Formats: sequence, structure tokens, C-alpha cells
Amino acid sequence: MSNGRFATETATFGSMALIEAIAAGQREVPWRAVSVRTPMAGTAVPFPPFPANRVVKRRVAPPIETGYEIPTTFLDAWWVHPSRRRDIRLTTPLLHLEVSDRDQDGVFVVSDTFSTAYGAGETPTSAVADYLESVFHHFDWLDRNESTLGRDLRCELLAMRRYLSREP
Amino acid sequence: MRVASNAPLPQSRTVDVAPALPRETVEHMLTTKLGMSCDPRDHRWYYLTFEGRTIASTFVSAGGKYRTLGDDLVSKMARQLYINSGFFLGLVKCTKSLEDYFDARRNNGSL
Repeated sequence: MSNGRFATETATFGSMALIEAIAAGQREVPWRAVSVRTPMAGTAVPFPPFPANRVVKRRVAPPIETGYEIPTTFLDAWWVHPSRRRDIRLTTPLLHLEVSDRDQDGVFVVSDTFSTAYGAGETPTSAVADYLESVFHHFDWLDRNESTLGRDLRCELLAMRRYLSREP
Repeated sequence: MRVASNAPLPQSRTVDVAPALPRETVEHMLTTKLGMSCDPRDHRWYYLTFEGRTIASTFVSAGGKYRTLGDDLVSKMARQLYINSGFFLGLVKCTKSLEDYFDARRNNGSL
């Protein structure tokens, strides 16, 4: 049972006994065996489709601790565009982003490894776009207010400067 | 195959998911309880100032079709506030106060 629609569906129900019962056509099953999670929300396909010019390389598809593989979280290298917003630019347009829908509510969440910025959307592509807006804004604000930042935010700004820079 | 109603229940390994929080409730908590100020350039960003220093910032996702924040979004916001999701839920449900938040940050050594 590798990545695939069937794996996703079975994981949603959370019990092999339940699946076997359903496969056998039985309608009465122990109600407590049924997971309370929203079934199939946002998990209709094993890996969300990407525009061809965005996907560079799939690196990791980490399993989630449910006993089955739910391919809704993965760490990808994304070739992001645009890589420049106003006077701030990404030093590299290739970012390693985590795209996930762990709670299976149909909202994909995107985050990176160097900041606390995140983005959300109903598709991975829209979530990445929201993330880009967020990370550019966050860096802009931190950079402008560097003198008043507390310790944690100053550390975050330093980490972000490896990936983002302000240019005239 | 038939599953008897009195048969022992199979082990079901599902992930506990925190209940979704209404976005308005979370925004209300950020502004009233934590006293965070909204960025006038982008109303989705909130900043927390303590003794003249900005000690945290957070972003409230404002997608068009979803008005509740799921577990994923809550954990991201909690990370931005340097607390865990449980503490964040406590702030929303009023079991944690602003003083508790500052204490937690002090205990982390970040204040």
C-alpha cells in the first residue's frame, strides 16, 4: 500500500478491520472505529499537481505517523517566481519549502526552513504564492525595524538575510 | 467478513487534531489579550511590543473560502509567537493570560 488514492482513503478511515468490513459489503461497523477526521478533504490526489515550470525536484515525501502513508506533506524544491518584490529580492529563486495539509481540512500550508513566515491556500500553488507575499513582507518589516527587534526576531532576520536582500 | 458489534475494537491510529478556531476569535485574542498591533500596510500581520522591543510577530492567513484556522495554521501561528499549540489554544480559550505568555517567554530565555 504505497502512495496512492487507496492509501489515502484507507488512512482516513483509520482501521483495516473497518476497510475489510466495507470491502465485504457490510454496513454495520463499530462506530468508534471510524476516525473523526474530515474524510478526503484536500487529499483527493496523492501528490497535488504542479505547474510544470514550478517543480524542479521532489526531494522528500515524509510519512505521517498514522500507520499508513498519507502523501499530503512533502518537502520540495520550488523555483519561485517572482523572486523580487519592490526592492527586496531572493538571493536564490530555488527554495526548499514544506507543503502540507496535515489536518486534512483542504487548506495547504507552506513554510520554509529559515523563517517563521508561512502561507496558506486551497492549492499548493496558491499557498506558495501566499507564502511569498508573507516572506517578502516579513523580511521588509524586520529589516526596516531592526533597531527595535527583540532577540528572537533579530536572530530570524539574520537567518533570513541568507536568502533575502534589499537592493536599491 | 462480518464484524460483530461486541468484538474488540481494532487499534486505530489517528492523529489528534485540535479543533478549528474561528479566525475572528483568534484575531480578537491577538489584539485584546496580547495587545498586538496590526500592521497598517498589511492587516494580516500583528506585532507584539514589550518594553520598547518587538518580541513577536504573527500572520493570520485570510483565505477567502476558509474562516476557521485548522491545526496546521494554528501551529504556524504558535511558532511565530514562540509558544506551542497547546499554549496558543489556552490563550484563545482564556485559560492562559498575557502574564502567562510573558512568563513562558522568560522561561525560554527570550525576554
